Amino acid sequence: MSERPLRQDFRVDEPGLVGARWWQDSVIDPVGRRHTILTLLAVGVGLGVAGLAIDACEPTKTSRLGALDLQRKYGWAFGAATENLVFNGQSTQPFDRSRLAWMVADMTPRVAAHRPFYVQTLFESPTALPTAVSEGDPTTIPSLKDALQPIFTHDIFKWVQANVDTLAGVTGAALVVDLDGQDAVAFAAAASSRFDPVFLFDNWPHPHGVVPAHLTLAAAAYYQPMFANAATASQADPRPPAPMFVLDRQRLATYTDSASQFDNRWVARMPGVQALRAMGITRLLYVGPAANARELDDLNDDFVTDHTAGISVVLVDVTSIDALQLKTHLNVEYAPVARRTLFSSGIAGGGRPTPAEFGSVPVVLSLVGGTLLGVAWSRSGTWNRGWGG
Amino acid sequence: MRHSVFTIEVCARLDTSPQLLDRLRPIVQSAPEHVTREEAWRRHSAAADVLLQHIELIERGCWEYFDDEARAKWMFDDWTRPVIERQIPRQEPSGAPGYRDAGARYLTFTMVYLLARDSPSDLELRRSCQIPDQQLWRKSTFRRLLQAVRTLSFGSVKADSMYLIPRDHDWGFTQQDLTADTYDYLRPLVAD
Repeated sequence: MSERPLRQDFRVDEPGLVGARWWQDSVIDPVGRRHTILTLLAVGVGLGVAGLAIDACEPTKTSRLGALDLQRKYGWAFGAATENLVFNGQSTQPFDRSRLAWMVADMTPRVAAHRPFYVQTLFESPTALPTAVSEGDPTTIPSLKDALQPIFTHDIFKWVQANVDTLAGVTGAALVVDLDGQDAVAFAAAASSRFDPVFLFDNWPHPHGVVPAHLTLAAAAYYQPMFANAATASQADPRPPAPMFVLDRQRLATYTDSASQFDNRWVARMPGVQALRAMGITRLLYVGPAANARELDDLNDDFVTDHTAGISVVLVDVTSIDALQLKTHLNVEYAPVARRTLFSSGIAGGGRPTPAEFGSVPVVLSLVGGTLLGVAWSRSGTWNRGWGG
Repeated sequence: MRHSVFTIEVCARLDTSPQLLDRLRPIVQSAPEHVTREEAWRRHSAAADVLLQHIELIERGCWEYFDDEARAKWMFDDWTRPVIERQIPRQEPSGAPGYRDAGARYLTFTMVYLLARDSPSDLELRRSCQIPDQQLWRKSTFRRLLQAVRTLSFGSVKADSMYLIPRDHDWGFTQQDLTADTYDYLRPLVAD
């Protein structure tokens, strides 16, 4: 460990504001101090306990709690312990399951300046262990590591191999890869020799998940050795590669039925203008799945701000652009327009809104001690009789 | 690793107590790019000490603690945005109050921490943050939270930030600045 582990990554010193931010890579992770009874998820302003208001006339109460937090505590398949994931396009190649334990490290950005933006949430899921058991799950939830099957996406991989040098030749360009999860990972793998992948996947798979994150994870398992090799190979290259921000285009998938779906949606957390500039980025190449596939709603505020600040945006279509035409296409700038949606403010420079109850699931709580009894959409568990009606 | 986030921001009179700005500024400004955990603790502890010594000057404030993962990271990003994106509230100096201008001037000082959830420091902060509703905005609560900052172990702090608005005396907030919706979150504090 370094003797000075905290490093400053941002600083401002002007008449109106002076401040800085520090990060450190090595922090002690205190695993195993968790409680088995649901404790308050938040304290203070905007307290998360508002939904837990107790009505003493009923033995149980429904509420909504953060999906990811519940999965971390009770297991990735919380409320669906006996159900399986379905993988399409499974690989028949040899697969070293033990390597999943290194996934968080293998997928870490190679460039130190990119690491603060890395979201490792998805890659933590295969080896994470629950710390409590929900009464609504009849059996212990097995490790996701054992349920995972690697998959690969050949077409996108080939397209990238043919075009990555052209993309890397654009001065000051960062990629924003916004494809379906498994395609985004395949893209990142094929481009990892020229770009530094910065994964932003911020959810876990679930058998009833709105977002099929298990496919993203399965692709990551397939390509994991390639990412690890790219990191090793790049150590010999003195020039830091440009960042490649990798997103799952299904992250805002439609959530319609809380009785049958698990809301594992998430929103992109892209670096701001100053951070992009600090990385030397003057252009964003937004990689989408079709011609004129504009940015998803949760990126609109960011892109409008970036564009206004002089960072140009170019749309790159991976399905219809002929490789020979790509160079010409890369000179066509896209001007994002502020639009009002559930995930964008519609105001230039506005803050991104997030819908109420986004990324949460309905749960049933015992009024005695606040013990969590299960997911409200699950029909198993004796608690269901008390509140359903 | 799971995370929690803790933030405390205070707003104090600048025109009647210029020494507060002069004492906080070097704590922020003098920090080197790479620091040990001990140095980080000293810096944050010193800032908390200064605020505790001037607690009577603090008129408004805000604090937050969240320990669900998504919100922790989101809130940390949000609170550090002024530093990352150089979001400077005033575009020009507000000037010092004039001879017949009794307009007050204010400063804000903010400390933000992204912690390893369930680490000893996190558990201590969580305990400190269990405040009854009626005491959320009392000076005694802020005193308690600032004292908690002094006990933080930076072995458990993944990231931190501190910032002072303004740096220079003639760039302070005016009362009118603080009436904007943007600063609604800064609650008037009740003396004990």
